[in-house]
This record gives sequence, C-alpha cells and structure tokens, in this order.
Amino acid sequence: LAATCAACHGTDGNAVRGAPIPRLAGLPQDYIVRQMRGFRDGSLTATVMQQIAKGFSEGQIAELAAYFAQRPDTP
Amino acid sequence: VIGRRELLHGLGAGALLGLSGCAGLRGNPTAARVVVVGGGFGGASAAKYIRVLSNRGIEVLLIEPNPRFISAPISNLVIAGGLELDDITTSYDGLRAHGITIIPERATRIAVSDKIVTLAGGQSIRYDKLVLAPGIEPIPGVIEGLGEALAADQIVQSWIAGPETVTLHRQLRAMRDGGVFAITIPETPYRCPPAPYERASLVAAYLKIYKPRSKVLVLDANQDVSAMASLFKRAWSELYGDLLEYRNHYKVVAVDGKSRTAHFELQDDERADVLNVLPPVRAGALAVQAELANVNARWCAVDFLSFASVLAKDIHVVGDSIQAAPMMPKSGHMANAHAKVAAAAIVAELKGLELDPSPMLTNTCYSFVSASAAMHSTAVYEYSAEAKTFQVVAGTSGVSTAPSPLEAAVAMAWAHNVWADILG
Repeated sequence: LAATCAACHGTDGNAVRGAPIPRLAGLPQDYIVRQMRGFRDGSLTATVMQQIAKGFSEGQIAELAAYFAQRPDTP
Repeated sequence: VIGRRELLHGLGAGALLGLSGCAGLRGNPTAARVVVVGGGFGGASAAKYIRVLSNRGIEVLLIEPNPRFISAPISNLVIAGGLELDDITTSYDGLRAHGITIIPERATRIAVSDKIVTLAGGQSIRYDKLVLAPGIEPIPGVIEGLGEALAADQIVQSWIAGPETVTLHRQLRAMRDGGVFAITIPETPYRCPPAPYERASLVAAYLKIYKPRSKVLVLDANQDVSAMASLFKRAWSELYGDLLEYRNHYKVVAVDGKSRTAHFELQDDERADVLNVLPPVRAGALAVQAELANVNARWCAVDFLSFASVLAKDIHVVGDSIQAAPMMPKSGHMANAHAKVAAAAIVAELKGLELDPSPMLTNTCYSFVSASAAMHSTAVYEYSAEAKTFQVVAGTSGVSTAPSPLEAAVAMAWAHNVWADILG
C-alpha cells in the first residue's frame, strides 16, 4: 500500500531533498493522520492531496502513517 | 525447459554479458529468475521492486538496449528548449546496485510455451516469470509516406524520448520567424493523453518569445482536446491568442516529407515548416510478436490482480502496452504503479504466498502550459473483485482549477522523485 505513495514521495517516503513535495519517512504518525484527514475534509489545502487523500480509508491511513513513521529518514 | 548446458551455450559469452546470476553458478539452485524486458517507467520499476520486495531473493535480469533511462514525461520541455536531454536522463547504476543484471541488448522473440526470451544476438534466456514492458510502437502502414519521411528526418514523431526529442528541438530552433509548427494528434487511446497538448503549449511559449510571427497549428483527429480540455483551451487563449490554433477532426492519412505536407481523411492538406506527426500506436513490437496484443490487435489484456497476460500466466505486462482499465490513462506514473502491483504478485507467486486481494494505484500527470506554469490530473484506483478491474475511488479524480507556478515546481519535484523511485 505504501508503494502507492512512493512515486511522488520517494521510495519508503524518502523524497528528493529541497523539493516542494514533503518527505514522509520518519514523520510523526499523528501528524500524517492529521494531514490526511485535513486534506480529505478540505480544512487543509494542497495541489493534489485533497483528491488523493479521499482514496484511502481511515484504516489505510493509520497503516500508512504507522509505516512511514517507522521508516528511516535516509540522506 | 531448456537445459543448463544449452542455456550457457546459448548465452555464449555469459561472462561477457555479466550474466553471473545463472542458477547453479552462485550456489543457489532454487532462486527463481525473473526476466524484465524494457527498462522504461514500467519495466525498470518492476525490476527494482521485485528485488526490494523479495529482499534480493529473486534473480532479476533486465533486457534494455539503451545505455541510460530517458524520461518521456518532462521531455516536452527539452523540445521547447527549457531543458537538455541530460536533464531527463538517468543511469541504470542504481538498478545494478540492487543486484539487477542489465543486458544491453534488444529482445526479439518470446517463446511463450518454453518460457524463453531470445536476444537480437541470438542468445536465449530462460525465465520463471517474465515482465513485459515494451512500451508502444507506431502501427505500421496507417500513414502513407511516414516511414520514408521519418528516415530522412523530414518529419519527426517523438513519441519516445531520445534522439527524436533533440531533432524536434533543432527543427524548432531552425524554423524561420513567421513559420508554421504543425502537430497532428491521433485518435485516443494513445500514450499520455495530455502530452501532445502540452507540447503544443510549450512550443507556443518558445515561439512567443523568439519567433512571435510564427504559428502553432494543432491538428487533432479527436472531436476535442482529449485531456484537460477546458484548462488547455483557456490557457491557450490567455497566453498565446492567435499564435496557437486548434482544429478538431483532422485525421492524417498520408504525408509528404519533402514538402512537409500532411494529407487528411476529410480536410484540406496542410503544409508546415516543422511537421510533428504523432501516428496511432499499439503495444510494443515484442508484445505483438508474442501474440499477446489480443485487444483489437493493439493492446495486451491482463488480469488486473497481477498484471499477468490473460493468455500467458507467467508473463506480466505493465505500462502503456496493456488494455487499460476504464478511466486509466497510459502514463509513466501509471506504469510505475502497474509495476508495483505486478512485482508484489510475482514475488508472492514465486514464494507460494497469497496475492494481495485489493491492490491500489495512484496516478498524477502534470502538464506544463508554459515554461513556468503547470496543472495536474490525478486519481486513485482500487481493484474491484466483482468487476475484475480497477475503478476510480469516488471523489479522487480531478484536475487543477488553473495552471500555476507552484504546480510547475511540484511537477519537477514529482519527476525527480519518480525517477528515483524507479531507478534509485
């Protein structure tokens, strides 16, 4: 499931540094969940995530957040 | 099944090719072997993810004649002069670091029942699973005169990023101010729905600055712009006015390379200073040869749970060459997404595990309307067991409200990230 994020956010959430797309690896789990909920309900604005976040259930978001929180933030 | 002696003999200079991974030679006789044909967005992603998901437990050979990866997404910026070919080119060294053996040759034949791929040099390679990612090829014989005109560089198609991308850029630069750059677009489906319109936009952006008396003529076989129609049309009228003219129902039937003239099914001939003809395409040659392109003799039907061909369970087809699911574009991002589902399925099957019953795909296509503004089309897809295909998740499909500089920056970040996801 996490591989669906990788094209934009990098393999295992390690996106190229300095770009406007955030790295997910090592982000706090709660933060990822809050962001995804915010994109879904429209309280947070984004370029594409307001659409993409609607593709994932609460359970999937929890799984993704737990997964990326545990990924090492590699150079 | 081919014998080991025959295999080694067939490979001839196995060591020369760097084929160190023959089962047995490494003391790992049970390791399964996956052969990937085609090192583009789909094939290269599959090769990497099979290694990653199997913890390097499955041998992967990648057959790709080009020495480096050249990205079709972003290549329109090279045509219009904003970037160089080097900027969209990546080495395959990252894949080698994953332990993938790259065979720099063209695959010419698949013996489906024997599970053997033959290379242009005559060598044969046995596989347990094959990933077929041959991309697209123009359907031969549809446009009279095109073959000769392409061979003489009088007309360029540039469906595939590489030397043609540079040729088209050179022709644009050499064009006189006051000239006509015509681009013809085939009926859908074709590779990357917004790409021809993005190309027309970026050429117009170049001409507006450097050759403002010139014109871009967009001659479309379709009834209307086939992706992000209202966004493109609004951008064209706001940014380019009379410099870009769009016409629908222009289906090319013949070309004359010498005079750069296109002949249409219904409309009058058009003569241009630069003529970019995008012919109708089908699955790449190898898929056609192997008789896997079973949908309208153009595209390969697959089982979407694993991307296995419906005709050959151990050949997984990914990328532009498949018969797409409804609302699924032929895009680089989508090929990368296909590849991950296929890779997971291949690893599961070779290890005797259950397939993921509910795979998902994401797709995002960015299109530039000028050198500094881009827009997106995106969607999330989930597998439906009832429909046996991918379906768009409600609420996820949509496009930008307007092109913006922010999305131009995000588009470049997307490119660098997806290239790293494929090859890093």
